[in-house]
Amino acid sequence: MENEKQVKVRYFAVLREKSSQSEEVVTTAATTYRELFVELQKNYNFPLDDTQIKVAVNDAFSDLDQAIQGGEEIIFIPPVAGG
Amino acid sequence: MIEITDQPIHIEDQKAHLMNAKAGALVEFEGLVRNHNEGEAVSALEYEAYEPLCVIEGMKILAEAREKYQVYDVRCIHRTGLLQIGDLAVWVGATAAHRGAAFQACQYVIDQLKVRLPIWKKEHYVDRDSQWVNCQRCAQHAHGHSHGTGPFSNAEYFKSQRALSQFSKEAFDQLQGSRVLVVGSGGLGCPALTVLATNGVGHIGIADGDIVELSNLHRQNLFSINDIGQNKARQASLRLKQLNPSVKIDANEEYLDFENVNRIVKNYDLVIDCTDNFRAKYLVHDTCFFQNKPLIQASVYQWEGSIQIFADWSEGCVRCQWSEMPDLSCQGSCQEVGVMSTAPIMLGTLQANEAIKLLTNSGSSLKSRSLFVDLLTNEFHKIRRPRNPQCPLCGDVPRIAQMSPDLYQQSKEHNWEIEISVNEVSDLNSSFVCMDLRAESEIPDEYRRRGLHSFSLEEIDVQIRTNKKKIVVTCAQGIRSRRLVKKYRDQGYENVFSLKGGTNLFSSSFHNGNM
Ligand SMILES: [Zn+2]
Repeated sequence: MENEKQVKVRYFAVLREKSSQSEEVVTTAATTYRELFVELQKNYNFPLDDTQIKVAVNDAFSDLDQAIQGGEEIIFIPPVAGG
Repeated sequence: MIEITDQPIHIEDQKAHLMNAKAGALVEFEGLVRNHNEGEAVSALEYEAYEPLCVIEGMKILAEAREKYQVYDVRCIHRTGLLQIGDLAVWVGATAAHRGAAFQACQYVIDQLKVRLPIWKKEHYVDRDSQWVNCQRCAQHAHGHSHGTGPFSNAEYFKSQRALSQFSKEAFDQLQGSRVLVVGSGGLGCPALTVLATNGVGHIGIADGDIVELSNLHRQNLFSINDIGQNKARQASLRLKQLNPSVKIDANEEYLDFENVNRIVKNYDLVIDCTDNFRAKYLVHDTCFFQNKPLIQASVYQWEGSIQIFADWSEGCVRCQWSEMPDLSCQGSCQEVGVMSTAPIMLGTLQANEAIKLLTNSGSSLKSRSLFVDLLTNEFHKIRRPRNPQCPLCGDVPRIAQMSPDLYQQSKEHNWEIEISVNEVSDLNSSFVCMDLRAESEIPDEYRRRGLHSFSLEEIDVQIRTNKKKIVVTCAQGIRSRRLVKKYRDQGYENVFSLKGGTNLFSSSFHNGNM
């Protein structure tokens, strides 16, 4: 489809555990990072929703409601407190 | 436990540490200053000790006594400074199931202390000048030497580090003069503390109310099998003194909480957060923000971890991204989700390394970035943390103008709350035990008829340690009971609560649960 974009997604902590992978290339019709996360959350049954995680884009914390550009590296970061 | 003190010894305090419901015998030895030695009249005695070695050697002696005799515990305390005739100079106590073992252990310890501890005694005579006597370590030398050094030499200890070209004498001196607080001496804390203590940080504080458990040993490498059941801050400080006797260590044997955090953090130049829960992390973070103290924070999860540094608080804080404390259900402890020991060892080491760099202005620090480490894939990601102008703490119009306890509350099922309300008690049905601190005669009749009774501190202690049900401690106003419950929470007992407001607030629907 024309409006689909390809991005690289990395997973940390519980997100990696649930998706059984550290990274993948995703082709998505989602327009924002939040929409993309909600899509992935359904796929992988993530125990966290979009209000509980943060996103980093190209190695900087970013806003979930920013538009997906295509080609960027996206990291979804859950809160972690273990010590 | 061995203590060296320049303050008068309080035997009751010492005994309190030893007491144990299983003990059938307690044997104590008191060494006093006497008024004569080898025929000469003595007016006073002065003791001088090389404390780091005393602690190490003393710990060995106590461990030997535990090994040789069937004792529950044995401890001792030795005075230093000027003592008068009749003063208590040394005290040893041993508890055991039977008196024989307690006598033997006590005698063994005092006999060994006398010959093995680097303690020197100066006798002040009635008829002539004072003289050093009984100096075991250096009996072969005449007494022209100083008593402060022992076989330990800082120059020799730090020889390899001092050879580093990127590490100047000034940098080393800076470290020696630095005071670093490590909050939590578990998976991250053990390696962080080891690095700090063995690389020249002069003064280290440890805060931890937790006790050592078997499941900690695979990653918390300051502890051994012998430390199980003991407080982590205390055992870590003893081990660190063995690794480097010259380091000064304060062991705060309590969790940081809203009441003590400001007082403790205030004493240090830099804070390393090695805790394992959001409540503690936010508490320490906000305290450092308001005190403008550099903070180095890390967390681990299975094979992963992250570390972030807040040295210049104008460049952003944790709340810039995570404005509210995440729900505990997001978290999962190391025991629940599992952890590979390499993750905390690596991240804790990184924390200490960053601390040393910050304190000595070496290298480039991680500031304004979080480093995410994945040891399964060897991926290291530095992620920029921009300051958020809308941040509730460091933003342009901060919502959090000062710290308040409600910022660090967690959901109830995790038992962070010390107090329980009357309504919550009613919701427990009968799955709790209510124990009142007052004498039976002080408890109003109507409550006694409904099953509220007086219990001694010993009885309450036994119930807290053994009863699987929730223990609710009560008194008239809920102040004394809160203090008692706090003590047990600090030791890691989560099943005990204080009745908020005391029995003065009891509703008529109260009925005590069954034991
Ligand atoms: Zn902030």
